[in-house]
Amino acid sequence: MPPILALHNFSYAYPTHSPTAEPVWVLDGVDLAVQAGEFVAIMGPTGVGKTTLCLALNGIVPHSTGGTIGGEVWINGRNSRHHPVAELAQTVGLVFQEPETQLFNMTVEAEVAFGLETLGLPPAEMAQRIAWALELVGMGDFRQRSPFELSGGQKQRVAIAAILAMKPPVLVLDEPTANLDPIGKREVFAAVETLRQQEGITIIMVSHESEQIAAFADRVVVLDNGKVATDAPAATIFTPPTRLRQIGLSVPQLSELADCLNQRHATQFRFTQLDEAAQALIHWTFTAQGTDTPLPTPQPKVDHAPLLTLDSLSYAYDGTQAALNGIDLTIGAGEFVAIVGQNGSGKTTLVKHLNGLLRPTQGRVLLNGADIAATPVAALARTVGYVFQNPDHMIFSATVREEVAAGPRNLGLPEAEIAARTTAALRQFGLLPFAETQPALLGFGLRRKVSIAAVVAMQTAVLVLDEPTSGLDQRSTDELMAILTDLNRQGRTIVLITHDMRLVADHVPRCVVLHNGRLLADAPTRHIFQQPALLQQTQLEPPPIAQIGQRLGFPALTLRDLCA
Amino acid sequence: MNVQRIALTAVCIAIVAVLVAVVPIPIPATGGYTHPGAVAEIFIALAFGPVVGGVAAGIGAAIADLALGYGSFAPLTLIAHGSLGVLAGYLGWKKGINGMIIAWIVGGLALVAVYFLGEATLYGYGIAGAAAELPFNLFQVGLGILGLVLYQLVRRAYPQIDQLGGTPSFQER
Amino acid sequence: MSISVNLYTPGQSWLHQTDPRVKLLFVAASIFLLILFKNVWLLLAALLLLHLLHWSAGTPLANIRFIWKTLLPVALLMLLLRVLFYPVGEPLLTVWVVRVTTVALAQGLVLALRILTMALVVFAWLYTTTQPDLVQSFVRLGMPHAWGLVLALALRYIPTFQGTFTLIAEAQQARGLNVSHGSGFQRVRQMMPIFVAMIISSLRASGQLALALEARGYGRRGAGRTTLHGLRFRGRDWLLTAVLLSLLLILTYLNLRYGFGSQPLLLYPPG
Repeated sequence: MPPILALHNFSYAYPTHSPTAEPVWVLDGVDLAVQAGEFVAIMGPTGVGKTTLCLALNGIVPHSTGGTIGGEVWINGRNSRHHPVAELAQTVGLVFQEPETQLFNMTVEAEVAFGLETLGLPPAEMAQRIAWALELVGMGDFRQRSPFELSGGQKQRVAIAAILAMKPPVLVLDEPTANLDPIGKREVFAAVETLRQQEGITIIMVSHESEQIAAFADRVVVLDNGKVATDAPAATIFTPPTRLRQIGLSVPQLSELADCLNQRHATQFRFTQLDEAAQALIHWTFTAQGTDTPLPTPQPKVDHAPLLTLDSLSYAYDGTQAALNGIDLTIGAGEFVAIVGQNGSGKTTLVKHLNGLLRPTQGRVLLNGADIAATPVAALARTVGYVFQNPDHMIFSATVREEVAAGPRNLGLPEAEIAARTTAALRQFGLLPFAETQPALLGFGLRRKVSIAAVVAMQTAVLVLDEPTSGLDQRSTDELMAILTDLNRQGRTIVLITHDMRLVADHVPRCVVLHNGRLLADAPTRHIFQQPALLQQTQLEPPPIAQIGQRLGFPALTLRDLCA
Repeated sequence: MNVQRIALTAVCIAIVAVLVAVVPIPIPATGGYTHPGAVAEIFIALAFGPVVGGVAAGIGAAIADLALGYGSFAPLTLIAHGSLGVLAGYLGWKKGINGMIIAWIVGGLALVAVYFLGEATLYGYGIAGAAAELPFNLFQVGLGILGLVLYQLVRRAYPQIDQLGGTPSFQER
Repeated sequence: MSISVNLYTPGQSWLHQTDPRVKLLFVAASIFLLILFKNVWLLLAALLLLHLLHWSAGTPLANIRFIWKTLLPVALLMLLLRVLFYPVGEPLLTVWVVRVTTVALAQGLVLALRILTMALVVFAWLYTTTQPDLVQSFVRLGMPHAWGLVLALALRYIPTFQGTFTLIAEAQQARGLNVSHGSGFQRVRQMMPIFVAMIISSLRASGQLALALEARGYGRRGAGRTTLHGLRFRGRDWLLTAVLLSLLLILTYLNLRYGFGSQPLLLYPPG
C-alpha cells in the first residue's frame, strides 16, 4: 500500500527579512514515509524544525508562510504544492501546542462545530459527529462549558475533538503536552491511544516525553540539522541511548539504567516496563550481586539562616474560594527548593507572594525577618528575581544584550556595572553569539534562555523560576540545571516550580508539595519520593528509578543510586 | 480577506479594547484619568494601514465603552475612534516620519472633531457642553504621539511586523 | 482593574428568546426616536418603560445599578452645563448670578434622560443576547462572514489579552520596572516595555490563531458554510417586527407632521 504521507527530499526556508539575505534551510532534504494506521513520534532538539515539518504536512508550509521549498510532500496522493490548505486539512488534522490560541469559540460545542460548519455539513450530521468526537476524547459532559474554564489537559482534548470531528485520516500533534501538568499529559496520551485503538487513525506526534513515546509509539523519527537523523521502531531506538543523548534528547530512564548497568557489569539488560525492570533487578541483586547493593549517601544537614518566611499565609482571588490556605514555609539563604503539584494547586500564586506581586489575604511574608507588606514590587526586585513561565511576557528589546541589561538598568546601577553583569550573564547562558540579534526572533529555547539570563543578570539573592524547562529538549534542560546548580553553589537561593519529577529527583534537594492550595509536604526530595500514598494523593508520579527503589526496598532517587 | 488578516484584525481590536478599558493613565494636575487607547490605535494604523487601523480603533474602543457602561456613547465612539484609525492609517502607513506625524495630527483632530460635533448636535450638549469635553479629548489623542514611539520600538524588536497581514507566496528552491 | 466584555446574562425571558435581529431593529429604532424626541415627559415615560422592559427580561438589579452608577454623573454634568450656559426663557429662580430657567432645566433633563435611556436600550439588547447569536445576527443581516468572525474572535480574545497584559505588567515590574509614578506622557513612556511585549505576544498569538483557523479548513471554497444552531425567525418575531416598525412610523409621522414631542415641556407646540 502506498504511504498516506510521504516526504521526498523536502526542504524549506522561511521568508528572509531582506531580499538579499540567503535563505536559511530549516528542513534540508527530509525523506519520510508514514503508513496508514501508524503512530510515529517525532523527536529532535529545540529549534530543529519539528513544528515546520508539522505545518508542511497539511500545506500551511508553504501556502500560508511563503518562503522557499524544494522536494515534495505527498498527502494521500496529492502534492501539497498544488492543493490549498483548506482541502489538505481534510486529510491531515493538526493540533498545536498552545491550547489558548487554538480554542477560539465560546463553548466546547461551538469549538467542535466550527470545522464542521466550514465543511458545510447539515446540522443533524454535525450534532452526531460532535457527540462522537467529544465522547472519544472523554469530554462528552462538557458541551456547554466555556473552553476558558477547562484545565490544560481538557483544553487539549477539546482541541483534538475539534479536529477529529472533521474525520481526517491523519492526526498530527505538535507537542500537545508540552505545557500540561502530569495529569493533563496522561489524559492526552490516553485520548490519543483511544483514537488509534478504536478508529485506526494515523498519528504523528512531536514530543519530548520519551517515557510515553516508548510506551505508545510504533516508530520514532529523530530530526537533527534539518534532516532525518534516525528512523527506527520505538522498541529499539532508546537502546543503547548513546545516539539520542548525543543529539541532546531525553531517553527513558529505564533505558539509561539498563545501559549503565550493562556497561558497568557487562550485563545484557533491556528494560521497557517498570515491572520487568524491577523483577530483573531483584533477581540480579540476589544472584549475581549478593548484598552488594550500593546505598545512597545521606546528605549532610546544613543549617540555613531563614531568608523568606511565609507565615500562615492565605490568599483568595477576589471573591473566590481560597487559592492558598494557611501556608507556613521558611526558605533558608542558599537553599534550592522545588515546588511541585498539579496545575491549580497554588504554586504560581505562592511564589508571586515572594516578590510582592500578590499580597496575602491573611498572614505575612517576611524577608530577612521584616514584613514586606509595604514594599513595592520594583523595590523587592532587588532581592527576589522572578522568571515568568512564558518568555514572551518578558521580551521587549531590540537586542538580546539590551534585554538582559534592562533589569540591571531598572535597578539604577552604574553603566560599567550594567555592562559587566550583562556580559557575564550572556556568557553564562551561551548567548554571546546572539547578543546583537532581536530576542523576539530567536527560537523558543533561546528566548527562554534570554528571559532567564535577563533575571540572573540582576544578581538577586533569590531566584524564582516558574516551569523554566517546559518545552525544552534534554540538552537545554541539562544546561539550565547546571547553571542553576552553579548559582546555588555560589550562594543564591533558588525556588523552582516544575512538573518534571525526574528533574527534581536529579537536581533539587528540598521539595515542597502543594495540593488544592494547601502545603501537603515539605521535606528532602528523597524522603518525598518514598511516600507512595502522598504522591498518589497529588497524582504526581515519581521517576522510574524511585519507583524501582520502592520495590527493591531502598530509597533510590537518581540513576547513580542504582548504578554506582 | 485571508485567514492571517482575519486573525490580525481581531487581535488588534482586542488590544485596543484592553488598553482603553483597563489601563488608567492619570491626567497631570487634575486627579482625573484617561487611557492609552490612542497609543495603540496610532500604532496599529501605522503598522497595518487604514482598514485594520479603522476597524481596530473603532470597534475596539466601542466595545470598551459598552463594557465600561457608557452604552449610549458607543456609536459615537465607533465613529470618532474609527475616523482616527482610518485617517492615520491612510496618511501614515508605510510613510516616513513626517507622514506619520501628519497622520497622528490629522487622525487625532478627526477624533476630537467627531466627538465635538456629535456631542454638540446628536447628544445635544450644545457648543459649550461639547467644549467642556475638548481638553480631555485633546489630551487623550495627544498621548497618541507615543504611538509613533511604540511603532519604532516594536519594529526594532520584531521586524517581522512588516510582513504581517500581507498575502504570502512561496518560491521554488 | 478588569472589565467583562461578555455582557450576556443567562436567562429564559421572552427577550432572551427574541431573535437578535429583532433586538437590533429595536436598538436602531429606539436610538433614532430618542434623538428625535426632545420632550421631557416622553423621555421620562421611555425611562420608565425601559425599566419595565429590563424587569420583564429578568435583568439583575446589580446590572441596572451599574448603568446608573456609570452614567448618572455624566447625565448630571450635562444637565448642569445646559442650565448654566443656555438660560432661555423665563427665570425660575436666580442663584447668585446664575439664572435658572424652566426651559433650560427641561432641556437639560432631556439630555440627561437621553443618555440614560439609550444606555438602557443598548444593554437590554446585550444582556439578553449571547455573543455567537450577536455575531450571527450581523452576518445574517449582510455582514460578510469573515468580518463576523473577526468580531467573534475579538470578543473571545479580549479577556485573554487582559490576562496577558496583567502578566506582562507583573513580569516587567518583577524586573524592577516602576510604573506607579508620574502621570500622562511620563506614565505612558514608563509603560512602553509592557506595551511592546504585549504587542509582540499578541502578534504571535495572531499568527497561531491563523494556523488554528486553517487547520479547521477555514477559507475552503465550494459548498457554503452551514450553522449548527441557526437563528430562527418565528411568528412572534414577525409580530414584534411589525409592532416596532408601526411605532417607529407613527411616532416619526406625529413628530414631523404635528411637532409631537419636539418641545421640551409641552407635548405639542402651541397653536
